[in-house]
Amino acid sequence: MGAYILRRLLLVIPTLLGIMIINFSLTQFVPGGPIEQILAELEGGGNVFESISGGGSELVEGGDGDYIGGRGLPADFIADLEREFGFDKPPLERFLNMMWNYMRFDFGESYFRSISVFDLVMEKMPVSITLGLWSTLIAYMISIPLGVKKAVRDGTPFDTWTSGAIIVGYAIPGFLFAILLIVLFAGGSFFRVFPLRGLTSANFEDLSLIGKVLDYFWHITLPVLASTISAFATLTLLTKNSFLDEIKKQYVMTARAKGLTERRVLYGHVFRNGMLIVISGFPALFIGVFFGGSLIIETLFSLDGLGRLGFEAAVARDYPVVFGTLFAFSLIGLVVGIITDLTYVLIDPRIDFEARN
Amino acid sequence: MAKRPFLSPLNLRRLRNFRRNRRAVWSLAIFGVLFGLSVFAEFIANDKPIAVSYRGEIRMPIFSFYSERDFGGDFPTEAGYGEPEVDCLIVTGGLDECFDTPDELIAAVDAGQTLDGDFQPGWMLWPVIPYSYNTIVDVSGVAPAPPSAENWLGTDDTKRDVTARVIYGFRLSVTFALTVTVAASLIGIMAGAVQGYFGGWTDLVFQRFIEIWTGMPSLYVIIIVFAILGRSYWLLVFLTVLFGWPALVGVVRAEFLRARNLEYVRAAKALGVRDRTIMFRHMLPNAMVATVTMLPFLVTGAIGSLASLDFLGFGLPSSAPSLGELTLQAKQNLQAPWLGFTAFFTFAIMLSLLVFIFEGVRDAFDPRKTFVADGNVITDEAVFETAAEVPATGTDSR
Repeated sequence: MGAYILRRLLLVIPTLLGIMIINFSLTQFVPGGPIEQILAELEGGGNVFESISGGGSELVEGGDGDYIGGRGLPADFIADLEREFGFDKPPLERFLNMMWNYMRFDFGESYFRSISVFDLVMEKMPVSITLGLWSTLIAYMISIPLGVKKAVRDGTPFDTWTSGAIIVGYAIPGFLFAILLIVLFAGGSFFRVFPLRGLTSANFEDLSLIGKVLDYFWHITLPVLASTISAFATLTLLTKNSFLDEIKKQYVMTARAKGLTERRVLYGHVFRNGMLIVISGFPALFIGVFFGGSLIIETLFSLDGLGRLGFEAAVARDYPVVFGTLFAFSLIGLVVGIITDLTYVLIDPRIDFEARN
Repeated sequence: MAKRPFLSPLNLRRLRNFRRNRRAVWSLAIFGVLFGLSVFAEFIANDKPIAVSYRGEIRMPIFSFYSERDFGGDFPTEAGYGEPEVDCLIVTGGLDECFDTPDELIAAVDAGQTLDGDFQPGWMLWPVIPYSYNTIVDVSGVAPAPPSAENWLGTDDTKRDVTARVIYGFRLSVTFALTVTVAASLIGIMAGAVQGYFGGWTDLVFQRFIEIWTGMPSLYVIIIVFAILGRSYWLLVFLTVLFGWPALVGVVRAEFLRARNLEYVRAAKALGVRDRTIMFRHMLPNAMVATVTMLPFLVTGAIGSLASLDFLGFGLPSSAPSLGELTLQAKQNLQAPWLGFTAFFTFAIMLSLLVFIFEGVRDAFDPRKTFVADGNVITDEAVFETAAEVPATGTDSR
């Protein structure tokens, strides 16, 4: 087992290197870099998000590169900028520098704000955790009992129509539900019940503790609801199938034969075994809760989370943020993948990944 | 080949199973009608008449170009059908008075009067919706106008008819999704087959490659590629396929890894059958079930990602009739709820129908269900289904 883990860990290195190399080389071909972006901002280029959240109508198409000539900005100013961002060095040297820093988990500073990439990610975490935590909790609290019930009533009309509803909910992108919710409950045309933007109100600091809690939940109801709807499908169907497999087994028949109530059979005996496959998803789930970002949901509800951070960084060519988060999240993702595989072995020792012929 | 029936007995059984799934059949019927209509979108929603009779001659502006001069006007540019002057020229056969009092002349012709001079009655056959997806509707009022008798679903914020845009957008989304799904499935199946069939080092290296590939931030790449090459429909198809194909590799690879040591494959190998033939003739049919299982989500996923990209402004060129752009407008114009409702229900109906159809296809391919439907073979599932029902009614009451 130790050899297997070691091999998997070693394989992370070429994968991670591959991801970084491809994205770094792709970046070399892009017209318009961070310097152009700064120049555009100095000259009033505007915010990339205005087009979505309802401000301007022009889309910033990632720098047209026609600034050259400086539009009057002094050449030595641009040279200074280039030196500051390290663009005076050849790409290979920049890449090696970057990787060396990343290996020591030094992710550098954002080009546009004097804040380290690590702090920047930390700053965006509350939104991601809010969306991730609550929608996951709701999804689990509804999906698992529903999955059990569907397994018990497999093939009945209840099973059929809940499957239909769940799958439709999964197929329709979450942001369309978000739009519907906004139009219905926050738009003003129908019920103006929920706020349209932000995680908390402007006067949050002045509120009492209960007021703060209420204000928080008032703000997150719609975004959490919108991001939960699509989460039901996988979990419910996973639970259902796992329970269907378990219900067929001998021990269930034994439990029934000795006269246990159906409830006891399901939740006392089957549940533990049926949940194993769900539990093996926990490592990935955990990471999803913390680092998941939904760009469109965040944009729609004017929340400042990781999804938007990534998008803004990509559009603005904030390379330290782009590559820092890419490196960190890819590493986390790969390691979690290994942990997930190991959990499978933990819950079912019969699984053996080393048997490869 | 020629002696074989068109469908093998197995496929016939699958077809029967599909037909038995009423939800799938109805979805297919409704979807067929909707998509069939949208294929002929130009005949349903267009700013040009389908046919025009001018001085006894039938012309089809929907297919060919006619200048205003062709109808007795002054300009060599395309005739502005829908303008009173041009309409008057057509129905009167090109009377000069049309430039002065077009509305009166049209009214007179409508009333069945015969006019003086060189009068030859003509007519125009308009599509049901006299707007194309990019026609600016010429009515007064604020920009996103609510639904009315002229614009059934209202207009968007640049005064284009929403109904027309939905019809064209539906066609665009569906063709996009189907193209992407077919291409991504082909590549995914081939990649998964090679990976699973050869196993060992091929598998290991390929697996890393896929890890790298799926680790790429696709939105970032799309932004970059669009910045370099500009936007177009086919580029977007290409990019979506580029990031979509690994979805199928996993399941196909697993099936091939499992099957490569089974007797029939070994027998085929011993007989000296070529690898390619073993993979695609003998093994692939067995892997098809797993593949078909993924299909509903590939199709809806493609539509979803097109919508998200359009919504973010990194999708199709801005002139395209995109449903994602409609969603964006709904967000920007919260005072115009019909935009949001239209966007949501168009997607909801389109995606639900597609999911139900492909679910039916999947169930028809599922061997457990294929054979249980015949009544000869009863699966374990069916046995335990009845077993599960017994204690629920009997023992529980104690």
